[in-house]
Amino acid sequence: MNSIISSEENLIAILKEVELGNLSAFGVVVKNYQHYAFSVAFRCLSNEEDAKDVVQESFIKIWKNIGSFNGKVKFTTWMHKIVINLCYDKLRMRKRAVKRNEELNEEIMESCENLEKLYVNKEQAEIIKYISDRLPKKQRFVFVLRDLEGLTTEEVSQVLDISIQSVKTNLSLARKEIRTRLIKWRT
Amino acid sequence: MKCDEVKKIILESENFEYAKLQNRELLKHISSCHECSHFFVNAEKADNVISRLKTSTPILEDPETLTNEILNNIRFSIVRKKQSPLTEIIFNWLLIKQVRFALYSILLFFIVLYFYEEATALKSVIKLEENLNKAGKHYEAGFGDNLPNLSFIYDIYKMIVGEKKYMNISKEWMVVNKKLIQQILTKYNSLALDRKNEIEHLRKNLSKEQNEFLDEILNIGQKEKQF
Repeated sequence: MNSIISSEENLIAILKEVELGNLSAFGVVVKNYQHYAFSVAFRCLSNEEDAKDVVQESFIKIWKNIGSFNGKVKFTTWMHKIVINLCYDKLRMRKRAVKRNEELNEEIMESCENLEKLYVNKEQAEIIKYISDRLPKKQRFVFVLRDLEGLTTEEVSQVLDISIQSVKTNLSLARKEIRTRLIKWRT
Repeated sequence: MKCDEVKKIILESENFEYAKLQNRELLKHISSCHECSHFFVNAEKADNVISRLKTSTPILEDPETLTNEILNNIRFSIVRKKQSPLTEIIFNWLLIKQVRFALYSILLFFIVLYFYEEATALKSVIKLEENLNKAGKHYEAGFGDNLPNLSFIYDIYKMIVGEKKYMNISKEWMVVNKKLIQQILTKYNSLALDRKNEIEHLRKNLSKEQNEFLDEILNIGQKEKQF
């Protein structure tokens, strides 16, 4: 089986195979979409290991519930919804388990002075953690999905099950808070 | 324009450059106020950080391993699902504390219900036995062979009271044979309407005591519901 999903039709054909229990077809889906899932999870959780756990759990969930995917929304939107729900659970568990260190890692932030530098995961995690840690979960997810992942406002509303107006409001509040935090760090 | 207003516009604008061009007062203020100018520059830098975050996609190291882990997990769950016998599933359920507690509660409920029903049945049998004895005495005193159409009632009487006398029937026997007694007593209810009318007609010829006995017997039919 071809390991690259080239079109929506191609994806639908593969998903039908997956629905019939074809695990190698599912392997193709995982290979093609795990990067997207990881990106969202990583940006929401600011932690590589937690993000990998969420990706694993997400694809297992997708395998189990592929029958309920009706094609009314894009597969990526459906997948994002699963990833975001698991991120939400992870954040809730984390909040209960550990009191997080809110201090910014100065060393990391100094290295971010050079904006031409390609951030490695650890640096990105620190920055995202710094700018979005104090945001309410909804604002944080809206910011990640809309501004970092580049989803449309409509897609974000579908993923988070909120109205388009709510997406806009939350995004505006998130951007304002993030800008304030970054300006504070700069001055 | 005040500094606070300028900062608010900068923080809330979608695009700083666009906001600056659209608002001449803002532009004028920024060029004349050192603090706001500095704030504006930092806001631009802040947006650059966000832009960099957007373009620098997190790197998933060793994606092959992650894919294999996911697929192995699914393979394992499929195999486990196929192999897991019913007993293992039940055992796994029993390991959950809440499930065990629920089972104990249900068991206790049925034990209480069983003893309650037994006690109620015994009470009903005692009452039934008293009724039968009383009715039997009336019957013996008032009836002769002149009521052939009511022979089924006599059969009932013989079956219950007669055998009881012969076999020295105890309360326990009544409990054990309560289904048989129920069957006999429901016999009357199953009769056709004309047969019941015939009995009612015949009852006019009976004495007061005899009718009382019949009422007793028919009331037993109602009491069967208590069993």
